[in-house]
Formats: sequence, structure tokens, C-alpha cells
Amino acid sequence: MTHGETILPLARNDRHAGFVSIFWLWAGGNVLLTNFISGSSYALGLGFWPMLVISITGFLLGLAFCSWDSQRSARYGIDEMVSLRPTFGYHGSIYGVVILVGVNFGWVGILASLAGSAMKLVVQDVGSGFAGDYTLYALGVGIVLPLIIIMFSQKAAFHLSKITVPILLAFVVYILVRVVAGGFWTRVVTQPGDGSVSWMGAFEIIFAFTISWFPYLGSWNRFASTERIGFWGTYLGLASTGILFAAVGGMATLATGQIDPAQWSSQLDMGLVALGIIALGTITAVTHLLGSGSMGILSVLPNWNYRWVCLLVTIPSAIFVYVTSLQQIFNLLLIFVGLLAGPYWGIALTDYFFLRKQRIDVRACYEPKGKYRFTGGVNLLALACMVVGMVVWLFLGGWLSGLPALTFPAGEALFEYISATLPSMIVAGALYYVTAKMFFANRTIGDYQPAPTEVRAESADTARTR
Amino acid sequence: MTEQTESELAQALAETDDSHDVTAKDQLWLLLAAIVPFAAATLWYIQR
Repeated sequence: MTHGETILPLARNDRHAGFVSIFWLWAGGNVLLTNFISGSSYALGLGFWPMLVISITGFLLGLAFCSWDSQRSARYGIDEMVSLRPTFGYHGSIYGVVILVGVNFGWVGILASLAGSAMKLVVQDVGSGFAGDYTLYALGVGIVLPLIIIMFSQKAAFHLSKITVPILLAFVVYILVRVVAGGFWTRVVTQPGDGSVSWMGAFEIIFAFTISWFPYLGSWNRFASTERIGFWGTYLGLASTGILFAAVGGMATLATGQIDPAQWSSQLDMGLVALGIIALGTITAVTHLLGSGSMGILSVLPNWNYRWVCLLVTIPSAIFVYVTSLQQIFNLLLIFVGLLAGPYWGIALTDYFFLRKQRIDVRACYEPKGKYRFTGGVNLLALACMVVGMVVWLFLGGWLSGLPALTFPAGEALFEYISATLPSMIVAGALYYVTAKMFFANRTIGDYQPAPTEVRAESADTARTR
Repeated sequence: MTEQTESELAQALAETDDSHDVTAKDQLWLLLAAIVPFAAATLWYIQR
């Protein structure tokens, strides 16, 4: 096993991914059927032009946070979960792993089930359905094949992306041609929004969707040969296909009235082309997801076997293959991400950029009792600020859950101006900045203040140089 | 690999020097790309 398949930091000469590799990796990682659904989920509510404009501008805003989050791993060659240790402590970073694994199960399951239902529909269209075909397609293409690839090598995802992404982009262009030239265009452009989703509602979907990348960013960007390559490669890679797929999904929904890609691809008479898109998109995306999920677990349980961990992060996803309402699971997953991941990473970003001034000690990240030690290995102050951020999210966006107990009229009204996830990240981050400045002012834990021995050594060095 | 050996392995690694080449100009461009289009689009949507 190489260091690329452990959570140890990668030395500079082991980071080989140039801009093209990182760009295609993230462009390929974002070639997701769920991206179609993101555009579809607000298309009917907004109508064509607002759908197109929010798809472009919302993704450009949300993905900037992915770019900023990428900097820790791309600069130091460390995994996302390891990069969280200076902020949350050696054991506090396990929360990030829980989020990663939870999101992973959801995405892999949704992708596999979408692949299964879409392939079943398309194959039935050509008259060759059989009993158990859905299970075979969903588990075989959506789960087993990517598992075999990722068990072979985590780096296989890089090679896979270079092949599949250009082909998939050509397929998407074909969908676009079908929508425009197939007699659907007038309906797409002229159909007014029905108001079922507001502008901020659409932004919330996009923003939560984009930050669902947070747990995955570091495990791939640590391969970037420079920080700048990770920074721009992530942004441009994710944006290129994210915007394209969301916009095309939205157009397909406006053309057919259907949100499920399986349904609209059938109504657009895509046939085997849709089958190709779904199979390739699922294999590429799930390979990325399983690789990142496995690295997340290895960051907590480094003595576990890489291939067994791959298997472990895969099997529970199979449960979602049998879920009936994909749209509901999609919405619930975005609530899960916005509420549980937003404030957590808001604090991590604030800590890295504003408190640590973009400097962390890589070796100390691997020492439970080193510089970044906290009581019990957990930065309770950071977790408390995260809880405050979650309360803010619940106040603003709790109504999205549909639960009366979590619906606050004032928060719901405010949501239409500021959404929920971004403000909860800002509140959690700002609160941590202020409280950490006060709380750690006279404490050496967490390396916010230099330890007395370091201060003495620095003083001695200064005296010697005089 | 235990926590101890993970720590030992990390210490034993060759220098994992950082690559800090994202400039203030990069940050400014990203900030502009993130905020300006969304702000302009929101104003457009409100006024239409």
C-alpha cells in the first residue's frame, strides 16, 4: 500500500496531479445524475431564464467555498479529515468522518437506484426486460463495478475520469440538441415558473449540493502538485459540469414536466444514449465517492485494511437501492448536509484562514498529544459554536423538513432573503473566531498561543541574533 | 497501525514541505467570481 492509500501526508515529490488531472477529476466527479435532479428540482418553480441564471451564479458562489476548502489539502498533501484535526482535535475530527460516511451512503445509494431505474426503463423500451433487472442494474453498475475499480487502486479514479468525462460531456450536448431540435425548445423557454420553489429556495438547494463536496475534497486534492492547481482545478472542474448538468436537467424537466432523469430521458426518446450516460456517470461518480469514503474511515482506523474498508463503505448503500421516493431522499440528504456539515466546515474555514493564517504543522496533525491537543482530543469550543450554527440553520431552514416543530414563521420569512446554510456557516465561523480569540488567549492547547518552551526558545534566538 | 505508529510514521516521513502559491490576486478573482454574478442575478430577479 502506498502513501496515496493511507492517510499519511504526501511529500511534494509524490504529488503528481497537474491542472488537467485535477480539473478532469472534479469535472468527472461532478458528472452526476443527482446534478440533473438539482436543476430539475427548481426548474418548474422558477421557469427557464431564472433557472439558467441561478444555476450559473449559484454554483459559482457555492463552489468558491469548495475551492477555499481545498487549500489545506492541496498545500500540505493531507487528507480532508486530517486537515480538520487542528480545528476540532484528533478525536473531534471524527465527526467529519461520520458526515462523510453518512453522505456517502446516501449519494451512492441514490446514484445506484437512479441508474437501476433508468436502465430498466431504457432496456424495457427496447423490449428486453426481465425479472430482477432493476436490482441487477442498480447493484451491478451502481455499486459492484465501482467497488472493484476502487479496490484495485484509489488512483484508478483519475484514469477513469480522463476516459469517461469527455464522453459524458458529448452525451450531455446530445441531450441539449434533443431538447432544442426535438420540438421542445419553445415549451422550455416560454413555460412560466409555477412558484413552487423560490429564488432563495433554489440557491439553498445549489449551495447545500455544492458543500456536500467538503468531506471529499481533501482526499483527492492532496495529490495536486501545487496549491494553486488544487484551488483553480477544483473550482473550474466542479463548476464546468455542475452548471452544465444542472441547466440541462432543468431544461429536460421544463420540456417534459418530469424531474426523474429516467422519466425525462425516456420521454425525450434518448434510448441507448441515456443508458450510456447513466452507466458511465454512475461508475465514475461512485468510484470517486467510495475512494473518498474509504480514506475518511482510514483516517480514524488507520490499521484497517484498505480493501476491507472499501467494502465497508459500500455495502450499506445497497439499502437505498430499494427506497421508493428518490426526490424525497435527495431533499433529505441536502437538509442533512446543510444542517450537519455547513456549520462544521464554516468553523474549519474560519480557523484555517483567520485564526491560523493558513499555516498548520503537518506532523502535529498526527500526534494526539501534540500541538493540536484539546481536552479529551475534542475542541469543545468549536463544537459548541457548531451547535449554535445548527440552531441558526434550524430557525431559518427547519421548515424544509416539513416538520411543524421545526417550522418558525419568522425564520421561514427570513429564509427568502438569506437562505439557511450559508448564514449558519457564517454565524458559526464568526462566533468561533470571537470566542477562540478570547478563550485561547491565555491557553496553550490547540496551538493558538505558543507553548512557554517555544516562547523561551524564540526569545533566546532573538537574543542571540542581536 | 496504531495511533502511536501513525504518529511515528508521520515523523519519519521526508519533509512534507508545503506548496503555498495561491496569491492574493487568485483570492480576489475567486471572490469576484463568487459574489458579483450572484448579487447581480439576485438584483435582476427581484426587479423583473
